Amino acid sequence: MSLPVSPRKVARAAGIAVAVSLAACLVAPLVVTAAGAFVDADWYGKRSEGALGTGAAGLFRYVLGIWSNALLTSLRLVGTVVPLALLIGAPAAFAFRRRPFPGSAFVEALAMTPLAIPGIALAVGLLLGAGRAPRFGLLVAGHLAYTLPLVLKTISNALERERADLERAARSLGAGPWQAAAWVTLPRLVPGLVLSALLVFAVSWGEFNVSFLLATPLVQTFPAGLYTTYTTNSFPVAAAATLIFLAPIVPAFLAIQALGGEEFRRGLSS
Amino acid sequence: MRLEVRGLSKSYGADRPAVASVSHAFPEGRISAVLGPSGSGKSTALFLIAGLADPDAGSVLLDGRDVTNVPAEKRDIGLMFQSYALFPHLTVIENVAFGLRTRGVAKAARMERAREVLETVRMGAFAHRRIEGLSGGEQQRVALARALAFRPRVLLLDEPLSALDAKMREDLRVELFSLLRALALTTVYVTHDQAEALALGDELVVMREGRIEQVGRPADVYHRPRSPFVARFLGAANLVAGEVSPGGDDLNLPFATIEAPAGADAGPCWAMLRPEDLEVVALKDADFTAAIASVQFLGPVQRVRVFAGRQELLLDAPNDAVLGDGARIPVRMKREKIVVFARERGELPPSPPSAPVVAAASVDDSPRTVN
Repeated sequence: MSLPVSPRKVARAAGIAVAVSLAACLVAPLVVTAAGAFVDADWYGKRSEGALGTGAAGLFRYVLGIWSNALLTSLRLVGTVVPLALLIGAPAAFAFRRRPFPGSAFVEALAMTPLAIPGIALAVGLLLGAGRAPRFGLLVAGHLAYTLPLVLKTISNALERERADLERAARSLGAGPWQAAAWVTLPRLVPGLVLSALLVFAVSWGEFNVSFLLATPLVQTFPAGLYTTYTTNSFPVAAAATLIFLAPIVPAFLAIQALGGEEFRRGLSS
Repeated sequence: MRLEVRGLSKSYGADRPAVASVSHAFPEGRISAVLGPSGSGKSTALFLIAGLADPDAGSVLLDGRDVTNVPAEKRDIGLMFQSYALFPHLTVIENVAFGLRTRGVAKAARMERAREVLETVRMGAFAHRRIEGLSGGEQQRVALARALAFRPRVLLLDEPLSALDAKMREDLRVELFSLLRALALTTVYVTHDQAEALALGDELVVMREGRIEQVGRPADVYHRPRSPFVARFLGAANLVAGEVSPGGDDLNLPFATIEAPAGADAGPCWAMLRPEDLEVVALKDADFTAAIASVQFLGPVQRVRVFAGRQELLLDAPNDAVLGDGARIPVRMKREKIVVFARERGELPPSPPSAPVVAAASVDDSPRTVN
């Protein structure tokens, strides 16, 4: 007896249906948010904010007016965390992979632990440990704890794929350890460095837990501000703020996706 | 430049030394072929000479100066890697010029020199290509050019042809031979391929389990191996369990008795006979007759597997001889070619490290995987 439709086709169709509905569930809030920022509807409570009524442009101007400080804090934070994470993480990954020392495996494992620590614990720990430090410094420390593991992993993977014999070849051709690193290892690591910079940027830009708990009225990151805006402002204002938040992160994720694929192919071919 | 190693030792595990107290002075301006099965420590020895691995003991001397503690980049030793290890992010000419760039040679000068070396390996037309698109043979030439461009004092080659297919290997072997000869550099050529070692080396160094087993001119080592291992490793060899009579006069083999080679010690022995030293002759000149078991046509000769009684032997017959399976042929042993090794009573013949008829398979050698 043969079925009218093959089971494989049914399974395939079901799979596609599940994937599409999942994607729809993920995208739906974004659609609502985007609509909220652009549709001029009284029942969203737009009028209640007073300074509005001049369309979408006016709304965004208003939102930027309230949250410019938080936005600047976030930009400054990301601008500090991304280079610091790379400057600390990449050489550390190189040391762990290429110049292991007694106990380096333990140190490496230790560096990964923040990923498993809840943000609240980390934030409270930072406050208890160094509560008198400038708040911005604490924010940088908290973000570094979460982003360094990403750099370590990304660069470690890139180094593991990279054949160590290229470095040996450079040495035999007269390059000292630093020259070999600068002329051979580093150029080969550029895709990995760009990838980890994007990852650090995405995580740091969107990090909420630590940022929220360490926030002061003067030093507040944009995601922390987003929380406040959702609890206190009208929906169109919150929606516009969300779109501003998403503006840099979506391109970053697309770039990560594209680069990750490229990295993967390179890894297979070499 | 004279290159010498003294008591060089290196072990990666606790119990298995990769190189065990190797001492040797490589002849100046000549090619030394270092031959050994994979895992015999020959590549490790090369890395120790290049300074890319630190010896546990012993020293490396260049022109009598101890360079054991000199880092790799200061030794001026050219090394061609088995994997070629070309820099994928650089072009062909940038790869070749790398060793000049590290030495601070100005761009124009190093590009000119790189181009010149690329011409000598007939890769001039590929100067601005990326490494990725090159064939194995092309990469091999670029790797050689890169190792030569900075005018090294000593050249080390680690299995330079092993990554190529058989036909390409033959062609490049001839080319490499004339190129290396013309350079007259002190060269150490590591290989597990006995044909390569015999053809390229002014001197042959046979290694086994981290030690030097025998050193000599290729022909001498081939004709007068010092151990059954060397006999078997350098080409095909019949090893027949026999006995030299108490007076040292007779050599008793299971299928014949002949006069013993001069200087043979009395007692149990292995008699080594290469296939080409067994001749098919007229019956009246024969030492024994043998039954043909199988015939392999190799081109220049036919390699025939025969049985003399219960003793299996390989012999080379002319490529136009008519040989039928099962036929009996009269065989004579070339007396002057017989080599005798002492044997323990009941000792089994050493198994050949590589198949005796076909050249050794390309098996990877260690240090690339050892970090």
